[in-house]
Order: sequence, then structure tokens, then C-alpha cells
Amino acid sequence: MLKVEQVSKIFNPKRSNAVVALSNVSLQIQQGEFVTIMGTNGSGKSTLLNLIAGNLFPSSGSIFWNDEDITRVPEYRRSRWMTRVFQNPLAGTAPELSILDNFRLAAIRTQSKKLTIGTGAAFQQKVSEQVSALGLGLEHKLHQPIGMLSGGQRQALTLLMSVMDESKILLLDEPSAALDPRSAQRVLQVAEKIIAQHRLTALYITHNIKDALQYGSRLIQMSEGRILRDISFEEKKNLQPETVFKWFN
Amino acid sequence: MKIFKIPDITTDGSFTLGAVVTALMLPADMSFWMALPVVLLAGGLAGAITGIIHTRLKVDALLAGILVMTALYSVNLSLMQRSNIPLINTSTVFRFWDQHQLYGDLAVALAFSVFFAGCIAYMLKTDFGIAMRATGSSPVMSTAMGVNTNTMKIAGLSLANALTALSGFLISQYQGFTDINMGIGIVIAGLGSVLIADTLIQMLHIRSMAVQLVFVILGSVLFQMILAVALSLGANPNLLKLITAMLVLIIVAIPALKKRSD
Repeated sequence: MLKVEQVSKIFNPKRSNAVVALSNVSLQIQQGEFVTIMGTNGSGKSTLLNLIAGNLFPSSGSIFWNDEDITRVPEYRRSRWMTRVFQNPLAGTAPELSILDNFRLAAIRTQSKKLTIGTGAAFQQKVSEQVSALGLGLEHKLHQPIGMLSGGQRQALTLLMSVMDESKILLLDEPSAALDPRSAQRVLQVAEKIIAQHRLTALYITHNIKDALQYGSRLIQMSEGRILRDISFEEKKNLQPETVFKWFN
Repeated sequence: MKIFKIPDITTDGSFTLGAVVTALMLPADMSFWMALPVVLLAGGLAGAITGIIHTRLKVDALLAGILVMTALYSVNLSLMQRSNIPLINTSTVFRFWDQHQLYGDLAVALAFSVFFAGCIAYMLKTDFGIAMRATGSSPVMSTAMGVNTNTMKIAGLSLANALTALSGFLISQYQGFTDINMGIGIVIAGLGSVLIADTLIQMLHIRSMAVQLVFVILGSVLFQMILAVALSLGANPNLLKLITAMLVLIIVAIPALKKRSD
């Protein structure tokens, strides 16, 4: 269980340009829950995600993962059980490295990076199988630099890479916002599939009302650094896009 | 073949440092086999200091390199106690195959290149090497993949400067002396060589790390040959650094000039 307890985040504290990004936010997310977060720009969604990822530390409050206090654990250590997919479809992969090398790094995300070669025939076979499930023909391009692929292809690969090694939490920061509608849909479908397959605890930020209603087992609306609405799966099923649209007006 | 996108100027100091350690140890009747690990360690330490200043103290990588290079000048000078040490009557690594001077030199240079390029090629293919390359390619992604990018940068800069010190070790024995100013502009020679290699690697779509490294070595040979041709055409040796700088400028400017003419 992921537990956020009375967390606040203030940027530039005690200065004239101080910004309260989050104020006293508390949230509990069960294992396997797929939480969609909506909110206007500046409502604190990204700050909340950054605090959970360890990219930022809170000004006050605590964050727990399975009763362990992780408030001050640095990002690279949290990556042992947490993966993140960014809005920028190019951010989750290293462009100069081949598809194979990118997958290798993802496969040893939680392990130490040793002086042994891990990209042998067996590993290539495994990656080839995973990648061919996307139906994009990328299994024939494993040795090409990943930077030569399109944003949509790279984002889909990023999602596959996130479950190459053991993962408990998946953070999706508007993963499809920069993609064309078809690529966007494919990325979200891959996300839904791996979340269900691996029983991941997922947080998904989006501005798209249709996606917010279609994906996720719980919906949260944030506003001015607080949680405004918290809607369960049962309620969410009956929610109409028009109703959600009105929340933002 | 760029691992990190850092033009590391520490090299100007660590190249000389390698030569200085060599010039202190060989005349004291220590064999080059004993000098070699000390040279690598000294260069590695210099690079690690640059890396620590850059990552822990958040100083710009270029400035961190300039600081360590400047400091190394004094370190080198106080180690040497004078500005030049001859290595004429000492047994050097190039006296290994005594009889055939030219072939002997080539064989020694080749043996060192093959051995160290082989080690680096292997290293870059390992999980550690992938993490190091990823650190240069995308720090954000690397951190998310559990790579401590600070440690990686320190390790990479340390390795690079250990190899630069190794070059100083070889050159000082090849030319028969160590001079306090021999490292000036080495960073440009290294940069030029890598850029020539990169152009060829892109042109020929080379993916293998080992072959890419062969091209980097070819790049440095080509670079030195262009300089040698310029000198043999009657260029004033005093203008050598100017010619070097112009050469690198031309290599760097080619993409922009090409774009303009298109």
C-alpha cells in the first residue's frame, strides 16, 4: 500500500515568490489500484507524482510504501520498485543506445550493473518476443539506436521496459499527451495490460476526460494543491463525460 | 563514439602527469611494468577529482576540468623540480624489441592499443558499460533505471584520465623526454580524433562498439597524419597549435557548412 500522509510542498519558501504546490494532501492507494488523476495546470498533480517518485522531497508530511517511510529515499533507490513513464515520449529511453541495450538496462533496473555481458542470445530472444507483441515490426530492429524510432514507438517500448524487472508502482505522467490519437491509444492499452498482468499500483495523470473515464479503477480530481474529489470504481463507471467537463468550469 | 557529452580539459594535466610519473620512476631504475599501474592510478585519481568536483559540488564539468588541469600544472612542476626531464639513457617500453627500431615502435604502440581498446570494448558491452553509455545519452532515464549517474560520471572521467595518463606514459618514452608543457592542447587532439571517428562511424552506420573503437584509433592516426602533412609542406612548427585548432574547427563546422549549402 502506498500512503501519502499530510504532505505539503512549498517552492521558494519564505520568499516573496513562494508557491504552495501541495497543501496537506493525504492519500491511500492499495496494491493493484489504477488511480487516474485529473486537475488543471498548477493543481499539484505533477508535484504529487514527483514527491512519490522521489524526484522532489516534501516540505512537510511523510510518504510510506508498505509501512516503510520512504519520504527521503532518493529517486534512484526508489527505482527498485517504482518505474515512471514521462509525458515526453523520448524521456524514457536512451536515444544513442540500441533497443536491446535499452531493454537490458531496464531488465537490471533493480540490480547492480556488473562487468558481465547480459545481452546474449537468450536475452535477445526474450526481448524479441516482448517487442513483437506490439505488432510494430520492431523485433527486426533490436540493434538500431532507439533514437531512430518515432515518439509513439518509443513510448510503447518504455512501457514494456518498465516491467522487464520487478516493479510494484507505475507512475504515468501524461504518457500519451504528445502522441497522435492512434499511438496514444496503443500506449494506454499497453499500460492497462501490463498493470493488470503484473498487479501494479499505478498513478496516471491525464487532461483527457475520455481517457480518464476509460482507464483506471479510481479517479481523483486535484485543485489548488488539494484533493477535491475522490471517486471509486463503482461511481466512476456511471460517470458521464459532461459531468466531468463541468467540474472544470 | 561519445560516452559523456563533456569536453574534459583535465586531460591536458593528466597527460603530463602520466609522463611525469614515468620520468620519475624509469630513471630511478624501476621498470615500466612498475610505472604503468602508478601512471594509471595517478591519471584515474585526477579524473576522479574532476568528477567529484563536477557531481558533488555541482560545478560545471568544463570549469571542474579547468580547475583540476590548472592545479595539476603545479603538481607536475613540483614533482619534476624542473621543466624538462630527459629519458635518453633509460630502458623504455620501446626498447622491448631492440633491433628493429621502427617496427619495434609500431609493435609496442599496436600492442597497447589492441589490449586497452579490447578491454574498453568489452567493458562497454557489459551491464556496467550500458549503464555508463546511458548516463551520457539520457541522465533522466538512467536515474529512473537505478543508475547512480554521479558515480558513473566519476568512474568514466577517472577511466578516461587514466587512459590519457597512459598516453603520456607512452609519448614521454617515445620522444625521450618529459616536458611540463607537453600536455597543452591534448584535449583538442583527442576531441579532433573522436570527431573524425564519429563522422566515419555515422557515414558507415557502424553499430559494433569494438569496430567503433577501431575507428577512434584510426581517427587519431588520421588527425596526426594531417598535422604531419601540414608540417612537411613547410608549415612553421610554431604554428602547430594554430593549425591543430583550425583543423578541429573545420571538422566541427562541416555539419553547419553542409546545411548552409543545401
